[in-house]
Amino acid sequence: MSQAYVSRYNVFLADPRTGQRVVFNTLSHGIAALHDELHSSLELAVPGERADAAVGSLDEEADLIRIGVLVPPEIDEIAKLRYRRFNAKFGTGHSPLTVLLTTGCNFACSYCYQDNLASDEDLSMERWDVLRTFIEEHVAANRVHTLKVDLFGGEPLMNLPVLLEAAASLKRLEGGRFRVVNRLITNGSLLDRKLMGKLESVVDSIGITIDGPESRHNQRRPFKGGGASYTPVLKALRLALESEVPHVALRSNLHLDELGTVRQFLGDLAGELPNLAKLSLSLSEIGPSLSETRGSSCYTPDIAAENEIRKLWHEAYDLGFSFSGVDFPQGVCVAELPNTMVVDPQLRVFKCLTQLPDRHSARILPGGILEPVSRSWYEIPNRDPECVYDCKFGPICHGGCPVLPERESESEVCPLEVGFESQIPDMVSLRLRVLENA
Amino acid sequence: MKEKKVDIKDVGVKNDRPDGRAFCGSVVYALCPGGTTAVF
Repeated sequence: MSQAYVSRYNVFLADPRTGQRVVFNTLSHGIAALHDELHSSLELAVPGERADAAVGSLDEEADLIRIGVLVPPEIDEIAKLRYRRFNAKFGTGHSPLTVLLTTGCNFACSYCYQDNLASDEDLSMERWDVLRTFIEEHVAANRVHTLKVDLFGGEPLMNLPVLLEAAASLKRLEGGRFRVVNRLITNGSLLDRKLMGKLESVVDSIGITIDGPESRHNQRRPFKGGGASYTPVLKALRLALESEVPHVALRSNLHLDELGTVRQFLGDLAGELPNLAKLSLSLSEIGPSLSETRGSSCYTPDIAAENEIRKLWHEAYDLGFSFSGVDFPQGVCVAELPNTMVVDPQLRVFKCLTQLPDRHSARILPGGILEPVSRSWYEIPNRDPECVYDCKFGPICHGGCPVLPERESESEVCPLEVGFESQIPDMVSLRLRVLENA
Repeated sequence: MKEKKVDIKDVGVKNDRPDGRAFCGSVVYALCPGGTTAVF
């Protein structure tokens, strides 16, 4: 007689592409296609209770335990989830860091989310030295083995001397098992072959944004003072793909009414870009700016729009693109990691980009000393809402955004739960496609 | 031959050693305004 119990974190669905009945466990991230009868009986079983009535054979039970859909009696999966969350947050081996090389930019994007950065300011070489000292001591004290640094702005190439020095000096820290992953986020307009040659040895990834076809991109992402940017940016993307930089990310921001033109654009791009295998694509609906998130409620994504965009993923996958942002597992938000920081040119430290420009939690002082200046520095990593453990989406939701204000909802239904319910089938479907082709 | 009722596609995360980083470091969060971190 089975003693295993049914996981609280099972999501039962039909693959929207094939109709196949599938179970996905949000805690283990195990996925299995199930026979209809078994799918139905497991879906009807009470989470947390014994599974013997729902499962026919010991072989099936063993398979389901293997992927986390059933849980052996000696394991408390709530304790397992809490352990994993704490381990993810307070383990120190892994440290993501974002450095704003400048708040200045040579673009005037119509939807720029950084609309409330008051003035253009570069990170000076002196301040970079202070930050480097902090990073070196942080890495040594915490035995960090992977330091991921996003070199960001504004437009980071507008502060080229400090960018190159920062990227090179970070790379010089590598040794033994310690690895630095430098990721440059740029609008691409200042990238040329000579500069790419300098970046190749110190940058692991380059992220560039093109917002659809030429006319749309030029309208949305013009140079400051006017002027079309599509041609130089596309040239930069091609240069990046031809370079020794191991990974290139292409981001495209769009509105729902543009899916047709973006579909056409992706088809054209796939036909003309070299080395498509090292490019990962990110498609996002244009959201609110930092000013707009300063309102009283948290940003609520348009679920219908996101689902439409997700359909485009499948088409882009057919064209040969891979993706960032759809891989499982998704973990605890980086803002909840004590080791995660966004550092601006004044060496103010933010828990995430949404806190710019004035909601910093700490600052880095001369000598590389980090000084917390807000209760949020301690409170955000300690956050551990009960809903994470009660909800089947808890292990991938983690209770929503930890830094923006609580959402105001008239409904008793959690909008995040509604969102995940809607998103997961397509995400699992795409994951299945990737697995099939692996 | 008996029909297989469970066809495992992905065994998922197995490693629970300390600092296994199994669930850590998502820089992609669905609610980031404008998906500001989604490109990373």
